[in-house]
Amino acid sequence: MVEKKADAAGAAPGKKKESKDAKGADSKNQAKKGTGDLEVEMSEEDRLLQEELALLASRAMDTDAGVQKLALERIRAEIRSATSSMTSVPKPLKFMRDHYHPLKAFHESMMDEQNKVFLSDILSVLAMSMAKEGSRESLRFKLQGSGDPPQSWGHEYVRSLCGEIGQEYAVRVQEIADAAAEKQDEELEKMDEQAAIDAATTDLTKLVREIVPFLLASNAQSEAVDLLMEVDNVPLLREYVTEAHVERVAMYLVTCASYLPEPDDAEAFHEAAVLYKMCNQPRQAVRVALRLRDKHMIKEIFRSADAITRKQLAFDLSRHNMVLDDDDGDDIDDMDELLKDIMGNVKLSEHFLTLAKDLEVLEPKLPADIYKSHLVDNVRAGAGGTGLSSQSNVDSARQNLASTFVNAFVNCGFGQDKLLSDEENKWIYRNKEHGMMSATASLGMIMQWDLDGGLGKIDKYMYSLEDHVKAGALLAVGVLSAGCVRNECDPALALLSEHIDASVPFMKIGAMLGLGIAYAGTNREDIMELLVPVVADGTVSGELCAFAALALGLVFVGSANEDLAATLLQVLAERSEATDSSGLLNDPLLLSFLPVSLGFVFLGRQEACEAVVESIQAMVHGSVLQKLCATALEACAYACSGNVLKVQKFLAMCGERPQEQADDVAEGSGSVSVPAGAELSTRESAGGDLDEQTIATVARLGATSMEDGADIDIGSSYAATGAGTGGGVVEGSAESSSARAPSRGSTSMAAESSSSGVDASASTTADQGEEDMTKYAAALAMQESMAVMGIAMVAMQEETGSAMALRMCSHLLQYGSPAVRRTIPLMYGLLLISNPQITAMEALSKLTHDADTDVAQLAILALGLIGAGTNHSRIAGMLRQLSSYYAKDAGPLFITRIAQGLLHAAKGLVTFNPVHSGRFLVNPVALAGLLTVLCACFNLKGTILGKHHYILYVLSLTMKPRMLLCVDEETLEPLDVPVRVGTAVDTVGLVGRPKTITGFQTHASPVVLAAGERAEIGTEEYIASCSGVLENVVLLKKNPEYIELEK
Amino acid sequence: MGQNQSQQGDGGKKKERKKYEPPPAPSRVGKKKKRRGGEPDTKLPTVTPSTRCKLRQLKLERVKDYLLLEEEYISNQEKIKPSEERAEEERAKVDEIRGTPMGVGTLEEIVDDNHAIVSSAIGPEYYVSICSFVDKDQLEPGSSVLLHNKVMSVIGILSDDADPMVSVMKVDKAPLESYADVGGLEDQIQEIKEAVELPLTHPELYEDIGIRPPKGVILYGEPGTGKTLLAKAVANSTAATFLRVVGSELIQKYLGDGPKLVRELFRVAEESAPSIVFIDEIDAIGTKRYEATSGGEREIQRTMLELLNQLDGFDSRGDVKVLLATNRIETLDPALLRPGRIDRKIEFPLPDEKTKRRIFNIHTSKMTLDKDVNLEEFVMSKASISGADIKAICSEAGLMALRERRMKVVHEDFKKGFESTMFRKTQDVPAGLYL
Repeated sequence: MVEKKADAAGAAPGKKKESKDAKGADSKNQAKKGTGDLEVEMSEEDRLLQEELALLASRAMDTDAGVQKLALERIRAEIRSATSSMTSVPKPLKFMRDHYHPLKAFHESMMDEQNKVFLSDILSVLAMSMAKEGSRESLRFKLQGSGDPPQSWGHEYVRSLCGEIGQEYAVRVQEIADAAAEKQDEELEKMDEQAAIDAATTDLTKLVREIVPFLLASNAQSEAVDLLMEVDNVPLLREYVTEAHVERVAMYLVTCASYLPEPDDAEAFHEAAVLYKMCNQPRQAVRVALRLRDKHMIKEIFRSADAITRKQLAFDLSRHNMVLDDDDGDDIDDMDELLKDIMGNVKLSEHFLTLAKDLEVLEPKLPADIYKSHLVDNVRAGAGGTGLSSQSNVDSARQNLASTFVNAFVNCGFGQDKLLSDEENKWIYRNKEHGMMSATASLGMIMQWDLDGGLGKIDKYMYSLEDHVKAGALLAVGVLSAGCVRNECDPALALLSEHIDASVPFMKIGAMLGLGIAYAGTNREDIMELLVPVVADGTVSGELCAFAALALGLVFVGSANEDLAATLLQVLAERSEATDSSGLLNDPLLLSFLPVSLGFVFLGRQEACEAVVESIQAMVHGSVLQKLCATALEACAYACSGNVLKVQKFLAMCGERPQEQADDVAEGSGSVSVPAGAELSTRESAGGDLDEQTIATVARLGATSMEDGADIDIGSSYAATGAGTGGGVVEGSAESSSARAPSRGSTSMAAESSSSGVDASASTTADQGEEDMTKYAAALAMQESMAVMGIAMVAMQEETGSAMALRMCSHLLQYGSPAVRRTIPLMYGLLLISNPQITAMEALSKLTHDADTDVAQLAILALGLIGAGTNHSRIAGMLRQLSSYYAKDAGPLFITRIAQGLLHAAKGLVTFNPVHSGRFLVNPVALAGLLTVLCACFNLKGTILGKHHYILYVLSLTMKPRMLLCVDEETLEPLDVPVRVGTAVDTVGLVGRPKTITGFQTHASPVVLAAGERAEIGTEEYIASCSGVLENVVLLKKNPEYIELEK
Repeated sequence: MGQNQSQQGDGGKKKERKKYEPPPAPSRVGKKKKRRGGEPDTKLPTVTPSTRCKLRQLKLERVKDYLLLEEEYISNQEKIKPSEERAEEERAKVDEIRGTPMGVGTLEEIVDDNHAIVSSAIGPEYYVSICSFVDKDQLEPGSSVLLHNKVMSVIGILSDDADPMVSVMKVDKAPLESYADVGGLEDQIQEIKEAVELPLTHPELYEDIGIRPPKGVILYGEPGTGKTLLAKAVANSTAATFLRVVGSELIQKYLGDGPKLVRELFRVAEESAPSIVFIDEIDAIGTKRYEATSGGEREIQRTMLELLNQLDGFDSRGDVKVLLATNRIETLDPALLRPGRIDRKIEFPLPDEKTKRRIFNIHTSKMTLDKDVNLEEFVMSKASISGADIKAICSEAGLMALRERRMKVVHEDFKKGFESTMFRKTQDVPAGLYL
């Protein structure tokens, strides 16, 4: 870009002039007159000037040094005094064009050193528009010229110089690199190379040092940063940036960094953090340090901050679920209790209730208030009493369960509700089994963040005789402290740890999940000690293992803990080998959560995951499983990185068409020729009774030879039976089950299938091969879903990427396999979480009537997700309509209710978006919580629509009040300050003082911020104690310069 | 009781129906709300700082990367399952169903999802079916439809989006006059360039400074001072779409047609943005509002109100610049001229001596002149002459020379030409009567 800029800056005026000349020539031709025509058009003074310059130019080439000098000085004065306008080239420059080449030639032969320097300057300016593109003559002459500050020749010249410096630098570095490559001596060269580059570019650096202060001073901060990035010398900024423009420089740097490739971005972030720190902006510095995950830097800033700043920083850290503990011997000495409380989110409940009180939404709501059935067009839902009763008879347990969840979501964090608290635990007993568990656990969500009050309420259920209630209470304890509410006594650990060894599996699950939620993101070793035995135990059932792994993943989210990674990897390896019911392939729950749990450990850690990806290839059996695990791991590791290469990889995975490849193989080799030693049987997948769609089920067995045990490449291990070939034709002879001898883990098989069809066929034929095929199909589908999710995960943070990823949805919908299609709604859900955009709403609304029930259900859920916590009336209307449309389908209806609950979560006071702080930071704990639920959705039937609906409570990790609360910096009491809230405007790289928000409204202090909105303090009376993003809790102080206007 | 019975009846019916079948999603008939800027998901995200900087480049590169990925994905998928072939097959099938020849009719009314009443050009109306492949979103009463040759069923829609009147206004062939053909008027040229051309070619310059570029410019001045000429020069030099209209063209026979034409004009301008709309002789519709008695006058005023709205109304027009020209600026409605609608008023004065000389030079450059011709005499004359007058003088002089079959134009010819032109100019306006 800079290059282009230089070209445009340099060449545009020139071009314009040329075109003008051309036109002049045209008219000349028409006139059929001599060259005098052009002269005629020129005004009198212009002609004089031209003549004078011509004279001066010829004088400058005089042999006499004195004459030369005089002439050159005159030329210089002329050029400098010329005023340039946007539309035309300065006159002197224009007239000097003709003399450029003669002067250049003369310059070569010039003897007088002093005058040569003079001439170099002038030539440098002329070269700006005259030299050939890419010749960098302007810079060459500048370097030969005097050390005049370049800005004396005008801004345009400086710009063009900047461009050429960038090019020159790249060329020189390339030359050195080439030279080094020839020598082929790596280790030594590294140091030498850097030194050589420095040596080769000292003259450029000198020039850069002149230009940068000028650019910074003349409001062209972005250009200064660009220039320094071009010459790889961003740290130079430290010398010149002052508090006056640190905000703009650092903001620009930080925004650029989001788009830079991997190693460069960290460097830029680091530089920005240093600048902020240098210029006394601790809050901003911490924000960048959080992005870098640089705990040491945060502590360093924290240590040097004063008491009030520390409070503010503590609030910021609490939003990010980050606690400054003294685990690594780097503790902060004078950390008082208050700060620890703030960081531990102890005050969160209080602040949230302040907000609720201010907005007058304390009154608890019943699910019926959310359903608003009176607005629903009831004709189809069965009008009148009988209709309702018959409907409720269909699945009243489901309905009650739905109400439980809606009640939990809607009254989340308020501490009171009408369903559970009022009628002494009657509601809980109106549910059955797992329903009871969820009902009890919902108490945790209602009391969320309020540790003391909540424990009192939950306590009585801990001693319930009913195991399900007990299990629910355990989960409730976890949910209660979700979002990192800390307490010295560690009640969650104390209460839950003893139940890890419970004999009843669901109690165990409750305890484990509770622990996972309560200690998410804390990296506590004691939790690991508790849970690892469960995970590592090869004898426990798949679901226990899955939940234990999930809990561990949540606790160690983004920690890249090697021990845990090794353990989980080992479990993956063992389970992938196991063929019994607890094997990875045989337990859908395990399949959903185990790979993802491993991913969570590396969430956002980017290249840290590479080693583990390698070991997956070595340890996990079965190419499909390998791929699934690697995909899950990479998707998590590169989440929010915006890494386009990863997106490309994931997209390629979604685009693979196994059966087509197999078609080719089958056609090419016939059904006889087989890869070495493998026995092959191709088989019609289903009987003639299945319709065409289900015949699309395609499978092929490839058994590897016993000797080497190597897997056959997926592509070749497929065979297809074309859908159109008709039913019942068995091409291969061997029965699939016999081909796949038992106890051989290296059997590789895969199938792609349309969902319902396979289920049907599996049940009808009930043959072993069929079953396995379904399982592989499930694994493959899971892998594809994971890849689609991966795209969304990688792209979700920065705006450009997520907008582009959204564009992909329509293509994926058009071409993708059923598994891919099913994941698209979730992709919308993740990319636009709590950010209801109308276009996405419309797209999802279309999908809610899809022929594939799974797509429809997930689309409904996604509608809830994109509107989560917003009370969006349009989505509410859509969901109401859907509730009447699906009134008779238990599954979709349940999902619709959940979506309604999500939409009205906490009565519209929370956001589910893990990305916060002006779309800059990603809360890893919140992201993990959200991803858990989304991954559970890959297998709706087995989780939310099955027994494990309580997985929805993991969303409690994601819920954060979307508020701005202004408090007094001393007392931390809420202040009633006017606040302007409006749509955020991207002000990065804009000149002047652009407004940061548009279309604002003014409210009093505790306000709710929607997605894409930003707040400003609406009065001069108070100012923020430390500048930064106005979100969550902000400390204010009285403005000392404020003068109250007389009334 | 009755209620109960009826409910029981309902229950009975329910039992009969074995499986609940959700009714098909309601199909929509009629045009959807107009979507600006194409389909939502095909739109690229806006890349924010519009200044040329590295950040912008990085963002644009990101967009490009994603687009490449999309391309790769689609081309891969197409290789596996080429949709073009399928589409072609389907198209062939549709064509078969449609048959040839097809009739053209008007859709009178839509009866239900599949049936409509159409009238053909000959007169009779038919109750016909609508083929399933017809896009019902675009069907609306009054639109012209394709009808099957025999059974008259609706088999297609003829979309007539743009008013043919407007497409005529587009300047396809750039006029020959360029800036070089304008004598003098340097300030005016600069102003018009800044206000009209530069915002379209280099919008970032304006953002750099932090201002919004002017939306429109009015050129005014005595007749013959080069307003239209300059507009032509703009059209000649710009790469933007140039739409030109004369104010009087916007006055239409039927009520509402004028404002509609204005709307269409600006819609087309926006669609083919960046574009310049040039309305010559704006005083035809832009006169001050007054209590109008006749319907015609009111209609003209309504046309102007529509113009006001298009210039600076509720919807923002992006890259559409408006050039107006008039020689009676004082009669124009003040609302039309307020800043925000027309930000720059460029006056075209009568040429001063230097300019006159240059205009004379431009016009005489193509003539063969005798040596004795002394143009200075006319240049220096006190009479106020415009550029057009000078052109008239020159051609008059040429005609004089022709009359006498001379191959050269002599000074005497110019003198005569000058006199006759000046005489003609003062003839119909009794000069000095009101002074």
